[in-house]
Amino acid sequence: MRKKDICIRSYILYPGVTLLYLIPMLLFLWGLEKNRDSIFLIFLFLVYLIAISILLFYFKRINNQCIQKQKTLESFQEELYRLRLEQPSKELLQGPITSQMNHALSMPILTQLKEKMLNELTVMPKLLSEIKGELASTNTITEEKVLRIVSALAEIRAQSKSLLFLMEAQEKKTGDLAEKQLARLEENAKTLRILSSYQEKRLSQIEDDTKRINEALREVKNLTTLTKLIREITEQTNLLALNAAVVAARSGSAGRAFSVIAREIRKLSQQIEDTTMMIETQVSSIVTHIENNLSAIVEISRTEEEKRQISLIMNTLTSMNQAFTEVSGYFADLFTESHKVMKDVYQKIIEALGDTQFQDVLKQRIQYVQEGLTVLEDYIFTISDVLQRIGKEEITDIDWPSLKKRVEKLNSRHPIANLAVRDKDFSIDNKRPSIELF
Amino acid sequence: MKKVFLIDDSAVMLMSVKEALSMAGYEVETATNGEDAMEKIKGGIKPDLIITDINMPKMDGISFIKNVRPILKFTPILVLTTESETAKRDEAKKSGATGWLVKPVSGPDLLKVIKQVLPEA
Repeated sequence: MRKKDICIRSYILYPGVTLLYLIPMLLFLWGLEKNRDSIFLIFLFLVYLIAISILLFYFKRINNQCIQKQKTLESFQEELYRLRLEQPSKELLQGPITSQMNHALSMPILTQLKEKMLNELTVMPKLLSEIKGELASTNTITEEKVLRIVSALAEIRAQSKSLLFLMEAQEKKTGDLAEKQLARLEENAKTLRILSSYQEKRLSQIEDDTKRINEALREVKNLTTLTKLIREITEQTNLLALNAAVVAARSGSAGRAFSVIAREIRKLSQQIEDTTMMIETQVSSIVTHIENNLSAIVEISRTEEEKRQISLIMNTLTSMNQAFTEVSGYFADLFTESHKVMKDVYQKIIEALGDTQFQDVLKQRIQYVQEGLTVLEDYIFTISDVLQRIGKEEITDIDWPSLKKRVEKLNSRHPIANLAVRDKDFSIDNKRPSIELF
Repeated sequence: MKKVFLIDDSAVMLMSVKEALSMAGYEVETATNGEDAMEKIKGGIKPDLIITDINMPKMDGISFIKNVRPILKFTPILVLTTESETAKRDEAKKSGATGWLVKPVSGPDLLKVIKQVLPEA
């Protein structure tokens, strides 16, 4: 520290000067009394008187200047305080005042500055503490939230796994079902073939039946022609018998036997006619019956209806087969696609879980900032301590651990210190890889 | 099922990496620091792979590797850390680490590395 200028006041200076003259004079007188012929002693005393007078002359001038400076300074300080100047202006410090004056002037300003700095520094620990608290809170909240995200992902993972297992099981069941459906479809196809064959057979049978019925009908109708012939013969016979009876009557007793034969022939002829009529009636009845009943069985409309019904069944079965095939395809596609999607979800969950590592990195960065703030806090305490000691005790050297060294120490024990550099270096091609296998 | 022993003091890391590995079909054991891990190893855990952090309380990752290497001579040990200092990496390698992974490492990348050091898995 720079030493203060010392001025000697008059009430100290004049008694001192008197003593400077008086003591050597007394010594001179004492020496003369002991050795009366000492010229050297007289010479020495005279030299002393001259020297001390010259020194006192110059000292008095310097001291007067010093006193004058102090008086000026005091009046200036009073003026400064009166004007409530908080800090010395550059013009004031570098103005027409001498260097000693400037130095002297700076001292109270420094005192004032010290007080102000101390006041300001008392706020810093509180501010730093609040910032550290905020950071700690940020870390806690982030960790809590990320843990919740990870928990949710874990839950999704568990649910997905269950779903995946279920789907795999269902896929197997669906496969079994599809096989059964294929078997059923095959059976349906067989049924269709049988139905088709049956339909063809039925149509053929119907055609045959129709032919046979028509044949029978024609044959029965032919009987009518035969009965007509019989009736014509009977009529002719009856006519002949009638003529024979007339001839027999004319012949008298000779023709009596012939008359009996003619009468018997007529009776027989009548019986044949009656029988023929009965046959005709029955044939007619049979024809009517065939036409009304048997023909109805094979009539075209009924055949068409049966054909339509069979076709309907076949179409329905075919549609069912197609529907089953489509549904099986949809199920297969659905399961394949769902399985693929679930695998993607699984992959995304793994990626998301990896991404949550940012919290650990962030946490360590925040911890680094917190520790940095602690270093700064300690540093402020050290400065405050030194400032408080100034003016109260003699401080010969300001020696506290430098902030640079404190930061170096912090960085040496903190892994995250170089992360910002590392992040920046990620864009550089020759960076060290983040994954290395030795 | 292959067993992975995961050591980290971060709850988030333990949970997220454990989940990712479980999804990939690994059985996962965890410990929160080197000391805890050593106790479990001495207690009988026989992992097929160890993944450890470096900066942990009580016993750090490098001390753990040094302590565990004489017991598990051939078990691969991967270091998963935020530490990027080359000296630490070299020390870990010298102590017997198999690989050095700097956080954050994506899930698929981590699984790829694990498959490399556990090819039969």
